[in-house]
Amino acid sequence: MSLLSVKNLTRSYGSLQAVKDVSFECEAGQILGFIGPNGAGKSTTMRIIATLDVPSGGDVLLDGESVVARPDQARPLIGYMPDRYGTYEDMTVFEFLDFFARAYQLRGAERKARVDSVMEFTGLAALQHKLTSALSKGMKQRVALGRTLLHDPKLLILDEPADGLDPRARIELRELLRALAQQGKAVLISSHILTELAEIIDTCAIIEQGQLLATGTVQDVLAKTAGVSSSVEVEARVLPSAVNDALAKKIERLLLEQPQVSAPSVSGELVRFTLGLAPGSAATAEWSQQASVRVLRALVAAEVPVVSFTSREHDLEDAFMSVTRGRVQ
Amino acid sequence: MTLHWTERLAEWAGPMVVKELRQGLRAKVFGVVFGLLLVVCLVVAVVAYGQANGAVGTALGARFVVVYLLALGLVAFFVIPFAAFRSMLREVEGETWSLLILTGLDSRDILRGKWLTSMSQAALFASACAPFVLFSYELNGVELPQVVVALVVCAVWSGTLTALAIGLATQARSRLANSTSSVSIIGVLLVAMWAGDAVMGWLVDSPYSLSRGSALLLPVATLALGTTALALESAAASLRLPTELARARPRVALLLTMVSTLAVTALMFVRVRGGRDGATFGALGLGFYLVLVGLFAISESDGYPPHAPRGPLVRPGALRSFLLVAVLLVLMAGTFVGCLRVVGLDGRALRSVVASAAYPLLYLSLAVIVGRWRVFERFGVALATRVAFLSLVALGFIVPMLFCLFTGQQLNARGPNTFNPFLGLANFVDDVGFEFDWNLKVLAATALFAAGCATVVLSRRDGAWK
Repeated sequence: MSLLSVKNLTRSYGSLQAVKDVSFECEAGQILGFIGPNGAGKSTTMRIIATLDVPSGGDVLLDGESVVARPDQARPLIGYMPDRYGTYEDMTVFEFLDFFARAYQLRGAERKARVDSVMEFTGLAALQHKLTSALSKGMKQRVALGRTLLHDPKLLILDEPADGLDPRARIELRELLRALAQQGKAVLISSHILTELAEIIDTCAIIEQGQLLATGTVQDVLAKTAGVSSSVEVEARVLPSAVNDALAKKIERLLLEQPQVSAPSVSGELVRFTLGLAPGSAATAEWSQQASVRVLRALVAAEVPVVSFTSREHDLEDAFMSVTRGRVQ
Repeated sequence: MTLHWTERLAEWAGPMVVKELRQGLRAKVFGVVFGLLLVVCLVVAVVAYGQANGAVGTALGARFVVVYLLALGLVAFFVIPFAAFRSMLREVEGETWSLLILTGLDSRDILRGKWLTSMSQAALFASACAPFVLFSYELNGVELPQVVVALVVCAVWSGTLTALAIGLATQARSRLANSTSSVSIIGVLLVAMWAGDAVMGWLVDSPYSLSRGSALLLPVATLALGTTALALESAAASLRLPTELARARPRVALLLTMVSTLAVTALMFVRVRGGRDGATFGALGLGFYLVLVGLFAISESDGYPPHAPRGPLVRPGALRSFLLVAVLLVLMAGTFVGCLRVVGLDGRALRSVVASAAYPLLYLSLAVIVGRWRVFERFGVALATRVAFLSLVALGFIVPMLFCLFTGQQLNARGPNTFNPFLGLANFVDDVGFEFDWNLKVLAATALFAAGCATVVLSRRDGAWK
């Protein structure tokens, strides 16, 4: 049985259907990426799961119990971090975590131990006496994450946690989330930064206009959506010392002579072009490999000093772009 | 392991009080105001000592107690409620209150914590003033009961204003509401500070004030205490998450507030053998109070979730709140009519009492009906009802006057102004004859008919809500 099971969830605001018949599941120890453009219904779905809102239809089961029918029983199992971190600017890190620990009914030594352990885990111990207003965005986000961990929930719901963070903070967040998943917690995370998500999530759910477009393990979603694309982007590099105008023109001419090659561009040592099929045809992995080999062979035969040649892998961004249409409601 | 007594106290007080105290004591405003209050008190004490020194049989106490109470009033009636307002507003703006509710804290715990902390701070300020007030008592001219009652009034009024300020902050869910409430609270608190200081000054001004004013003070204090509970309960209900059932507590608080206030008022009225003016003043005041409360009560959300517990009072929805306000208006009029009968019925007083209930009932009912019209609907249920009420009152005031103007009658002519909420009411209060009774009957019948129509409208809304 899945830890989290969302079943036919629907949420309407008057005539606007923000969430339409959304269903997905998440196991303990799994990180599920909830992907969608702004206004897709991600936050609404997450708020319903976090017991902050009620659905118009459907249900959410957490550990087999309905979150909708018994929100009070579900709350101790959930740690929710909204896109606004919700930290009090005039409290120190310790005071903030201590306050929420008190609110979670932790008492005496147990509370102190829990706060210390959370500060240790999130790397906040050294900053515990600093006001949260003096912290960087990345550190504030850690404080907010620490708050969600105080009562040791089974499910973490993180709404756009990486938004606005610098690269270092994002990498550190990724490490923290991996560690949490290893502890057996299910993590439901939404983000716009798909490359970031791709490296940490096990499963994903792509949503647009309130409708779930694709769901499953990342490999499944990539496999399903790979067939939809009809082109492959290829990037090659030539020997830097051989770069000159004549070579650039020669490469461009050569590429244009090749079947199924379009949009060639040469900028310094970098060569880019697209291998494409007729619209509606699917670019399989085997086809893209064969086409790439054919072009590489032609370049080498023409004595172009190629030092690297790679076709870009179909990734989560491609999957997202191929199933969504950029519609908003 | 045995906990330190401060830790035990913190556990007992609850997380909200601990948090608010930590934040409050760190805020610069607390230290600055505390320091300023001490300096003012010290300067006044030096002046008082200078004036009293060498003078035999002086009675300067009352004058200086008033000065101390004014300084305390500035803090208790303005600084503390405003700080509580800002604190709650930050909670609403940052949506941190929803995170607090997810921890298992009840919205009542959040508000109670904020209110208790504000009151603790008020107590700290009062304790700073206490030695100086006692010093003034030594200067003669003021009795200890006067000072104690003035301080009790200060505490009650400060508590009520703080609760209202917290309640107002919970309504600021949009940028417009945020700005409007921030501006309004300053105006309201300034007026309330002036009123509170005036009452405290009057209490310590004369040794006879206390006995003369008790007939008014006790009902007002009862109403203020009830309003404190009502404001906190209403704020807690409005902070509830959609996943939580709406609570009946605001309605229960309103019922208890009005019943206790009416009981104390009736008791004092009969005890001091109150006259026509007392009944008129009481009915007008309570009628106005019920209009203010009613404006929020009748614009409550429609209907109830299918899993709401059964029972007429427990279920949320505007219908039950409207019916309660209507019943309370009738109860209020009935109580004063009963009081007037006990002390000897006066026809004119009866008219003003009935009119004080009929106008609020009429215009609140019309607001419920008109608020459903398409032109108002875009504001949403709550705001539409309030906007409709204000528009109708304005129309009810202007249209009869224009009619009188064009037909060459006096602006306050009785007939055309029967439904005028201001001039009509003034006519009923001022009227000297008995020939005006039919206007009252028409007004009362119309108000009851409108209330019936409003009930039907609300019942349909309840039924349509899913």
